[in-house]
Amino acid sequence: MPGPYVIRVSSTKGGVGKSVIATNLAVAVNMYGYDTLLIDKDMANPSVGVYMGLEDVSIGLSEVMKGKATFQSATIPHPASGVRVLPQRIDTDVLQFSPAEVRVFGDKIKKSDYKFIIVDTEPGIQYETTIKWYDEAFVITTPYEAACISAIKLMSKYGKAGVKTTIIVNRVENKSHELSIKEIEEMCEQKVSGILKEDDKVKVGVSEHIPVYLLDRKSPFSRGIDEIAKMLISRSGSFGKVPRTGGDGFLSGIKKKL
Amino acid sequence: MDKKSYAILASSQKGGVGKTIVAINVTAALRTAGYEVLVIDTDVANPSIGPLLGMRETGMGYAEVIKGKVEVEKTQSVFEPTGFYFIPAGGDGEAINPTPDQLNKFYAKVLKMDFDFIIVDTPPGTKIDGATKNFDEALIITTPEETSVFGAQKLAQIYERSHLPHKLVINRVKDDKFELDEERIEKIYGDIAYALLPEDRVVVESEAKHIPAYLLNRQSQFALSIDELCRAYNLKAGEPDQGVKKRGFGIRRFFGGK
Repeated sequence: MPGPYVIRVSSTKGGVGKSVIATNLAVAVNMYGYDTLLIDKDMANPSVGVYMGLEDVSIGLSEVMKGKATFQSATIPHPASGVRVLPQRIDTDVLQFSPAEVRVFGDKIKKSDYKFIIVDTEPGIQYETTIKWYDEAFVITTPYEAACISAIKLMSKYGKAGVKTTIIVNRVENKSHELSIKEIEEMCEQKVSGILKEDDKVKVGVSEHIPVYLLDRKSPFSRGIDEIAKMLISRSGSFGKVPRTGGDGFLSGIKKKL
Repeated sequence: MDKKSYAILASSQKGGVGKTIVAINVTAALRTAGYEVLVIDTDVANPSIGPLLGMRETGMGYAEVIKGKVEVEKTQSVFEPTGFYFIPAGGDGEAINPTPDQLNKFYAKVLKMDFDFIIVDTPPGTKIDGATKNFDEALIITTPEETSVFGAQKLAQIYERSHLPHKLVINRVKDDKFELDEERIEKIYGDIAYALLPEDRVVVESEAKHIPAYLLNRQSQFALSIDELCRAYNLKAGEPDQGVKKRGFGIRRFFGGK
C-alpha cells in the first residue's frame, strides 16, 4: 500500500486565496471517498481552522512538531465533510524547526493511513526545509504579471528540489487587464492545471466558517475545485474507491482507462 | 527647527490587504498638502510600488543600499508631476533579511534626507525588531476579514513589545454582512480603528492607470478617507497631533499596563 500523497499548497504572495483553495480542495477530495488530512503549516496567518469553523484550538501543528502534543490528539474531524484537520493555534509564534523535528513529523505523516495530505503554507519563496514531505506542489497565482513573475521563481525552486509543480490560477474574472491563460502558460512555460473564477460565494463561506464547496457545490469556484480534485485523484494513482457523494461518471471513466 | 523626518511604517501581517495602496496614497496626499515626501519599497520579494506608479524597476534600490553597493541618494527618483520621491525595492526578487544594524544604518541615512515625511512599505509579516526606534508610528493595515484582523492583532502585539505606536487602518470596507463589523474588529485589535477606507473602484482604475487613486480622483470616497487618515499628519512636520500620541498610550494600558 503506498503512503499518502502529500501536496504543498503554496504561493509567493499573500491574499491570492491559497488557504481557501487548500481547505476546499481537501473537502472535495475527501468527499470523493479518499481519506484526507488538511494541515495548516502557516504560522504567520493560520486560516485553515477559521475557514473550517475550528478556530479555538489550544494545540496545533507547532505543538505537535515541538513534541508538546501528539499528532492524534491535535487532529480534529470536520463534522460536515469528514476531513481530518491539523490546524494551527491562532496565536502561535512563527517558529523555527530543527531538521530532526521536520524529519520526525514527515515520517509520522508518511506512515499515516490517509490517502491525501494537503498542507497549507506561508506565502513566500524562502527555501523550505520540509520539501522532502511533498509529492507535489500547487503554486497559486492570480492572473496578473507581477504575481506570475514571482510564481515562476517559486516554481524554479521546486524544480531544483525535484518537486512536481502544478499551476492554479485563482480569482479569474476575464477582465481586459488580466493576463489570459495562454499568456500565463507562455510566461511559466507550463500548462495551467486549474482555473478558479472570482466568486462572491467564497466570502460567504469565509464569513460563515463553512467551506464554499459545502455551501454551494455548483458555484463557479466550487466547480473549479471539483475539476482540480478530480485531476489530483486521477494523477496520484488512487483508484477504486467508492465516492461519498453520488458518482457523476468520473470514476467509471477512470476505471475504463485502467 | 529640527528637520528629522516623521517616519511612518506601512505594515500588515497578511498579504493582499492593500498595504502598498495605502502607502502610496498617503504619500500622494501628504505631497498634495505641500510636504516633501519620500516613499520606500522594502518588499524585495514582491516589489509593488514601482509597478503601481508605472515605474519599471531600475535595478538599484533599497536592497543595494542595505548591502552597501550604492549610496541611498542615488536610488531615489521623482514621481512627476506631483513631485514625491520614491526609492524602489531593488534586489533580485528574493527576500533579504537585513540585520538590525544594517536597518538602523539605512534609516539613519534616510532620516537625514530633508523630507518632512518618510513612508516605508514593508513585506507582510515583517518584524523589524531592533529598528523600530527609527519610526514615529506604524500603520497596521487590515481588511475586515477575520484572518486578516487576527493578523493585525498579532502585529499589534509585536509592536507593543517594541513600544512602537501603531494605528489600525481597515481597508476595503464594503459594509456588507459578510465582513466583521467595526466593533468586533476593534475588540480583536484591542483599540479603536484609526481609519476606515472603503472598497472603491477608483483603486482598481488607479492600478491600471499607474497613478495613485488619490490623484486620479480627489473626490472619490477612497481619497476622502485618505484625507481623513492624514488629518493628524497635516500639521507642521515635527509636531504630531497630541491626540495621536494619547491613543497610543491607551493601547499600552489595554495590553496589561506596561
